[in-house]
Amino acid sequence: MITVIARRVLTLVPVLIAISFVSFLLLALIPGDPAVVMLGADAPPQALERLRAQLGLDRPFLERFGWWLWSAVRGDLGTSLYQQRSVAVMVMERLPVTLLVCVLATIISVVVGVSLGVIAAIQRNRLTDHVVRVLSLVGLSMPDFWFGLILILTFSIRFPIFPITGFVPLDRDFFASLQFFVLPSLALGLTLAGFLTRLTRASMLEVLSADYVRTARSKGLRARTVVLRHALGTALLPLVTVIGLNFGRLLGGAIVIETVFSLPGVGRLIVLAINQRDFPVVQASVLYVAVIFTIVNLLTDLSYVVLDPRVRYS
Amino acid sequence: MARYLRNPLNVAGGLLVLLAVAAAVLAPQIATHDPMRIVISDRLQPPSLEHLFGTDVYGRDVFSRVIYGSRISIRIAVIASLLAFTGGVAIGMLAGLAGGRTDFLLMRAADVLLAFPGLLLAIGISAALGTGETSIMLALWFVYTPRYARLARAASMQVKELDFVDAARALGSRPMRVAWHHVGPNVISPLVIQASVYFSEMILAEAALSFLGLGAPPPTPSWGNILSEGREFMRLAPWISIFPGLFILFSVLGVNLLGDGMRDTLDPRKG
Repeated sequence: MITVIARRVLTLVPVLIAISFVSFLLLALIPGDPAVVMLGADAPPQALERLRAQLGLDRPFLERFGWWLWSAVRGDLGTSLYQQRSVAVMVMERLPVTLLVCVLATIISVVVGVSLGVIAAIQRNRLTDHVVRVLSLVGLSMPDFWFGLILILTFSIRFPIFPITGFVPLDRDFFASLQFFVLPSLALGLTLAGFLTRLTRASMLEVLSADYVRTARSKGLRARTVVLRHALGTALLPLVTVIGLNFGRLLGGAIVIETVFSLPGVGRLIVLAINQRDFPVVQASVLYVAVIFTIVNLLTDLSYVVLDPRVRYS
Repeated sequence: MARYLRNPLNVAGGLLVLLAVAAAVLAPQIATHDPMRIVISDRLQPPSLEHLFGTDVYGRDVFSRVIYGSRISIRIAVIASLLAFTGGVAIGMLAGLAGGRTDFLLMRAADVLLAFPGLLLAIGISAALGTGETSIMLALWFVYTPRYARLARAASMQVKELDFVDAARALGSRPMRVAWHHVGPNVISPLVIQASVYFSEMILAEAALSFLGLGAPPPTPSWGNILSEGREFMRLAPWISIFPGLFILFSVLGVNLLGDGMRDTLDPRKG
């Protein structure tokens, strides 16, 4: 098992290099002279010259990438054009907020999605099933940021339960900070739950018709035991991949939701940086988030080694 | 077809999509006001018979703006879908049929793009290209092409093993003819269902991108930018954000119901 894991971790290296190449390419997509785009057409020529040198625009393309990659490996992704600070530090400061939103949303989506999916499967074609199916469709058709606005309208304006402005940093007072995370996580988690509900229901229905479940039933076991002990585990296995992939959705969704709730996470940083045309910050944030997603995918893959005895990764 | 229409949900899905398309095509006929016209004295009016969805901070009619906004959202999703579908199918079939090094290189390239969360990559690309409708379209094209390519590759690898393809090849058909006449049609049909899923994702992504200010610049209305303008007035005038969101919700719901219906009709075992 250790060699399996080690081999899988090693495959990360080319993936990470390729990811940083794509993030690096983003700068090349900028039409015209990136220095002019970032600083504006009326910037002093010396400043433009300095920025071109800083971005390495005067050197050949591959050399520039090599240099960028080498700095990135050492944790240096450049300097923000507006704050004169290390971009890597700025992103790292804000990463915990984004990750916490995504983790909370994952928990919410799994708890809600799996329970509704199981209920719908057991009550197949009855009223509950139909209601759950419509609800889950509505959930996955809803823009999460709009749902966030509706939550603000309901739980911050109409019934002022959660604060609408301000923020308490996580490391100052964790529990006071947590109240700022409730609505954003719900907005992301509940819309995503629709997706998981449908998958759980389908997977559960498949398992419930399997032979071994019929055997368990015919042994006279109680329906609850059959569902919880025999069916659920097998039905949930394929969901592990989906939960991993969903994390990517959440990371994307968090960018928008942080803007809605003014949460100081990486998403908010990206949006601010885009508005200021602070491209090194955009580039670094994109790279960091993609790296996190890659790691989550790796963990998902590896969890099968632990969870599924059939997987031996020869 | 009769079987498809038997389920009321499928009919509802079809109707919702029809309504959204009608809103986009017939916007000048449906809109009750000029979506750009500023009437400061009418600012932040609640919904009424005169202004069905109320007015925004410049006194513009939100209903008319939302109707006109559907044009941009649907246009972007349709064009980006067509581009990504054709590009993805071409790349996927090339990889699947050619195999070997071509397959390896194309699929590794796809893997790299898929290693980015879709919305994040779309944001990065359209931010680099500059704001506007075209850059969102290109970004979504870029993000969805590898998704289609993977599916098309898997499908064409299955199809190329089938007897009728062997037969065509044995009869001396050229590779291009085999690909176009024999493999292509069988690759495309399963992808059409997936296309409805991607189409609805694109509508949501477009809304998110223009909510962040990466889309068509104001005063041109799009669902996303009306929502984002309304965000500042949630307390005073919640209708500005509520209605465009409902429009997004119902159009995406329509597409999803339509896709579900197609799947159930073509594959009656599931559902």
